[in-house]
Amino acid sequence: MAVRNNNDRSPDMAELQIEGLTVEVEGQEILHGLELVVARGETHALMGPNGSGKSTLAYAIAGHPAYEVTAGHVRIDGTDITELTPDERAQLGLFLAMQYPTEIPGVSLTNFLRTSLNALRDEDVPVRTFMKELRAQFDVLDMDPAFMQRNVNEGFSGGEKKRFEILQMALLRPRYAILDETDSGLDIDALRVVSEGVNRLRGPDMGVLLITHYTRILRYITPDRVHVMFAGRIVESGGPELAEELEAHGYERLRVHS
Amino acid sequence: MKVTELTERDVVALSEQRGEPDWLRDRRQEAFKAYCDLEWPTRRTEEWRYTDPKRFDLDRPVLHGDAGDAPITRGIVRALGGDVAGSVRMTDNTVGQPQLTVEAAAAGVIIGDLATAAVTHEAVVREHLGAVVGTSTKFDALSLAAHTPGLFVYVPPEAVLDRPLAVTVQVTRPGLVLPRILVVVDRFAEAAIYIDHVGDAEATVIETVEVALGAHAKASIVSTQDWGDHIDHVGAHRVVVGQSAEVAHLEATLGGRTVYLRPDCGLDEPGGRASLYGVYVGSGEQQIEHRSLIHHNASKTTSESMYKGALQGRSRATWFGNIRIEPHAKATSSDETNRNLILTDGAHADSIPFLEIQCSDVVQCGHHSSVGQVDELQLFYLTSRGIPRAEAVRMLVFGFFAEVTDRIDLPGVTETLLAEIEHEIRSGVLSTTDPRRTRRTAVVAERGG
Ligand SMILES: Nc1ncnc2c1ncn2[C@@H]1O[C@H](COP(=O)(O)OP(=O)(O)OP(=O)(O)O)[C@@H](O)[C@H]1O
Ligand SMILES: [Mg+2]
Repeated sequence: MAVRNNNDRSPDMAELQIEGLTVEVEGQEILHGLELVVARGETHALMGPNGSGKSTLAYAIAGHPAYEVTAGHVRIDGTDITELTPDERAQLGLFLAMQYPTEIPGVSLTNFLRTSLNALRDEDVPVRTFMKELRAQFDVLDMDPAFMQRNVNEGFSGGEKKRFEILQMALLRPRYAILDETDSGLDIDALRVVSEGVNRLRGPDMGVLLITHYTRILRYITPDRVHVMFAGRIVESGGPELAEELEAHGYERLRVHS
Repeated sequence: MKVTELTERDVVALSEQRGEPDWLRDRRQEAFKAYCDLEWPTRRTEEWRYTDPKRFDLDRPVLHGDAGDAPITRGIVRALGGDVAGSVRMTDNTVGQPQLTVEAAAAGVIIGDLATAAVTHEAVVREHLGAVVGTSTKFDALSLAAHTPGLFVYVPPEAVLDRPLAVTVQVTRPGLVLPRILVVVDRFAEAAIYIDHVGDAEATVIETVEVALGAHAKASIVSTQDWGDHIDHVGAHRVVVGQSAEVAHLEATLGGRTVYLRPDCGLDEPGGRASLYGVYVGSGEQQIEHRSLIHHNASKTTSESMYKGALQGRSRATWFGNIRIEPHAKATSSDETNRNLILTDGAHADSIPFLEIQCSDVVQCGHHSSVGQVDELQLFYLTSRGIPRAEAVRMLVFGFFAEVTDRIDLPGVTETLLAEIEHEIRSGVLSTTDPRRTRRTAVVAERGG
């Protein structure tokens, strides 16, 4: 597939770049010319009040059909993905851990993961190799292997769904991962397991955009940058200390100067 | 000979030619009288509102003479590769040489020509032939009067078969053919019977399958409509369930130009249970109708019905499910479900649940019905993991059918059906373009201009 061939990208373009992104949902503009750059190897936290458009941004980056980009661009390592289908974006190394993962009755978890892995690696991964990798990931994320017999997300508890999103990320090894409130709904142990899972994958080869409401997860996963979103725009960016400040003072002062 | 010009003399001649006993000839003649008194259905007939009876060409000559010879390329029986308790092929107007394992033969299992069985097993054939499916519609009466070939399948009391009995109904020549099958699974017997419908020709098939279950019998009946594109098939497939007997009945309609089936079930004795399943895939110009009556005619009877279909191309499907509970049938449970997936814009499905509850003492009675498209959120989830849209659609279609196929635990059935469904879906023209893309292009063009 042509989109996989990305050898001509220059190293300084190793980033997820969002430029002037305007997004409409059901005819209503939610994002208004949003700007954000996440370099590969970095972890950025995105915070902001309910309804400010964080999930909208995540979905628009991943190519969700209900989110229509009316202006601006999203680029991965210099390649404009704004017009690409979700699978083509995934081929370029994008991964979205969803806030509300979809249940898919009748599609088995193993069939789903194997089809996905085969598509992304563009090869027929032998069943034994696949099962070995899968078992290893179940182990790392402390998930009961009994889940392998189940259908994708069907009947999973909220926390189990989140854990499974991270398991997918670990298996598929994306270049850029957007984690939309993966920490919400996790118990203390799960939060630690999931954070360790993310930390294990962090490194020069992966950029992370971590959407969260809580500084709790940021104690496990230290971000390089913190951004604050308000009414469809990034209104403030800073270092890890910005998260602490928000925790202490809330979003109230943003309402004043926005 | 044409059925539209059928005379009593033709019916008698047919019976004599086949060497049938007098009682069977008389039964054909009575059916012929009923046939004469009935009108051909039209589009205005309630039962034919969704399928035009004109699609069944009655002017085609009734097939006679030697059967054609053609290899069988589809169906579950073929996939089993001979691992059966017994088998027989009905090709065009003839019944081939039946095969039975030594054990099945020793157990008293019969599989063979109906005319012969009418002599050798007169009592049981006489009791059930025309009793399960009578002469109340024009097609039913025609079948009893003029059927040929005829087949009798018998599983005697307490016989338990661990492998299926396989019947292949094959059509190889253009014309009209009237196959009729009587299956009797006697008290305390257990068996699975597969009936594959295969072959292709410009042919009209008017078929009756009667299944009678004795008390405490357990039977699985699997009928696949695996025809090529030129067959028009109208059939009554009816099961009557004896006291505390249990039937699982599956209709798999994948091929044919027109298939109009009545997969009915009569729960005539207390404690009878029926699981009625269906899967269908329509492609091209195919027209499919499943119209079933689940008749709770005794107390403590239970039925569960689940039909699922996927439609593509310009195909149309109708499901009409009637649950009738008689006033004397107390403490019954029934539930029916029909779900349709429309895969392309030109396809269409009608789903009509119907309840006739004449008894207030009902444990449970429910119905569920829907016509929808592949879920865009599920598609997004799968494609966001790198799975191409067309592949993701196929996975969701399989997932959709899994709800039915997961309930079937019979050798060869699920694998074969899923493979054939996959083949149908792959060969169909799927609208696999992301709907957003066309919209997006329009937006860009607007801005550019
Ligand atoms: N499919 C949709 N249909 C209609 N409105 C939508 C849809 N998706 C998002 N919106 C609206 O867009 C706005 C932004 O929603 P979004 O889900 O992006 O917020 P969020 O920042 O992720 O909030 P939260 O912190 O609660 O998850 C909200 O006002 C929401 O109601
Ligand atoms: Mg959100």
